[in-house]
Amino acid sequence: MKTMPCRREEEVVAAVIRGNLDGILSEHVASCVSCRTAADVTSLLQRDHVGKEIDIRSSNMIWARATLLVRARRRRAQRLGLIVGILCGALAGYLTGLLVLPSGTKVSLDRTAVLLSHSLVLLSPTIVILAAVAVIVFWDSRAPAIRH
Amino acid sequence: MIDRSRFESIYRETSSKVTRYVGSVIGRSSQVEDITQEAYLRLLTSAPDRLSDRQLKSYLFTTATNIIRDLWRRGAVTGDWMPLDQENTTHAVSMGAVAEKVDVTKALESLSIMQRSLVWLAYAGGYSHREIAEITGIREKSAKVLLFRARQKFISRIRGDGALTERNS
Repeated sequence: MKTMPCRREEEVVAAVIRGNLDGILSEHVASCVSCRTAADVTSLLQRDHVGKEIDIRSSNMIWARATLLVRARRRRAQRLGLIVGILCGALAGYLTGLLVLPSGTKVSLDRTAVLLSHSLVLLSPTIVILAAVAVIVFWDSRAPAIRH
Repeated sequence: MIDRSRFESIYRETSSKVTRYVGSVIGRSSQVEDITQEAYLRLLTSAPDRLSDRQLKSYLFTTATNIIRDLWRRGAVTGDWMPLDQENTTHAVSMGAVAEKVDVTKALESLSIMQRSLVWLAYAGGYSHREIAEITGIREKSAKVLLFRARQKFISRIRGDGALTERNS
């Protein structure tokens, strides 16, 4: 005999867990093989506390570890911010220097072309470095703490 | 990061359940503690603050499932993730008087890791099919079908051990 899942199974399981399988639902369970099985398995697993003997660590320890992890991540993010800031500052300084030196505040077409070409030369590796740093930080934050 | 009092309340309410879930799925106590702790760590360090308590609890089970999956991929957790074949276990198996001494752990071990996860979440955790689908990362329809097959295999295994007797026999 083949059987199919019944649409009332979730309702039955919830009632068994709450301990109030009665009335119409109880009558349904008596007449539905699928729901009866679901009710039996639920009773079995509710009664059998698999893994209950395992002593779990206290919430204080987990909280302390999480706090340390969050602080470490914050420090890493601050370092990244500092590196980005230094790079941007250096770039801005260099470009400003090109604009104002050596002919005062005048900017000629030639100078603008030089400025653009220098910007491109400088920006490309900067973007690559920033992308690499971002990838490293992202990868590091995703790495699992459990290592085997 | 969620505040400490909220975390402690969630921890009190869920730690036993999460530990039992992980223990049922991997069946090896040496890793259960580490996986459980890692799930809580990720809850604290990565879960968005705006989640409700119910969502945070689902997040915990999702995280624990993901950690187990990662460990399984790296060979640190043994067993098949999904059943290797389409086992013909859709025949009706009626359970009757449930014996007092049933080796549930042994019956669970006969299932694949995903099947253990589904059976536990549905019948011990009381999660709906939709929630189970979210936690395990599969579609709701697939979750229903896989859960049904897993349940039938679980029952067959228990009956095979002679721990249960058929009501209608």
